[in-house]
Amino acid sequence: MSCSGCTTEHLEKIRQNSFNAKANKDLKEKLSVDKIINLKRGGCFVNTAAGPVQFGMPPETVKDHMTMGCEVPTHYILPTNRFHKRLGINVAEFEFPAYFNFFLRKKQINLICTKEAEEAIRIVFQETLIGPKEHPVKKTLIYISYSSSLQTSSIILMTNQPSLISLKKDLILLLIL
Amino acid sequence: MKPSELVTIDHLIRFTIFDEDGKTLLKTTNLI
Repeated sequence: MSCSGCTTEHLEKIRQNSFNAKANKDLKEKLSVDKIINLKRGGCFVNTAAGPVQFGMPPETVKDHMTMGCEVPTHYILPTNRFHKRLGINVAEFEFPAYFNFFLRKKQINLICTKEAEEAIRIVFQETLIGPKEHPVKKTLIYISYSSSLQTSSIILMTNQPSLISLKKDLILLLIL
Repeated sequence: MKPSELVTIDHLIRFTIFDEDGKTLLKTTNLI
């Protein structure tokens, strides 16, 4: 989901609403407030000895870091609710941070999440990166007819949309063998 | 990673899995 067309006010509203208030309060209590850096499109990050650690992954979060001139994090904490139902945005948009880090920086990202979230992410990433593990192949019925007078044969492939292919006699025999 | 090797999720993402309360580390995956 793209935020390219959002206004500044809309982005600010998304940023404020994308926070889990309790988690944000807990985080602020444990850390000095000035160390938490809020991102324009939502989420926030903290610079640590292990590098920046980001909480929440709204769409296009990589752009926020690039425009701020900050290092794009490799450590991400996923919110418990990965989809903000009211705003209709995914707040666990891990794909582009993963691609950016892997293809440009040759690094893995570290997603800090629950077991349930890991399983969901593996299913989604399998589909987006590689494609489905298996997909049904519909049966194809082949009808062969041979016309001795015309010395031609026809193969009718019955698939979703039936098609007719005319072939020479010897090619038909080759197919039968 | 070899040039011919297919990129999988394990190349791109490492998971650090905590339990629901976020206090107990359960496992860390894919330390490639």
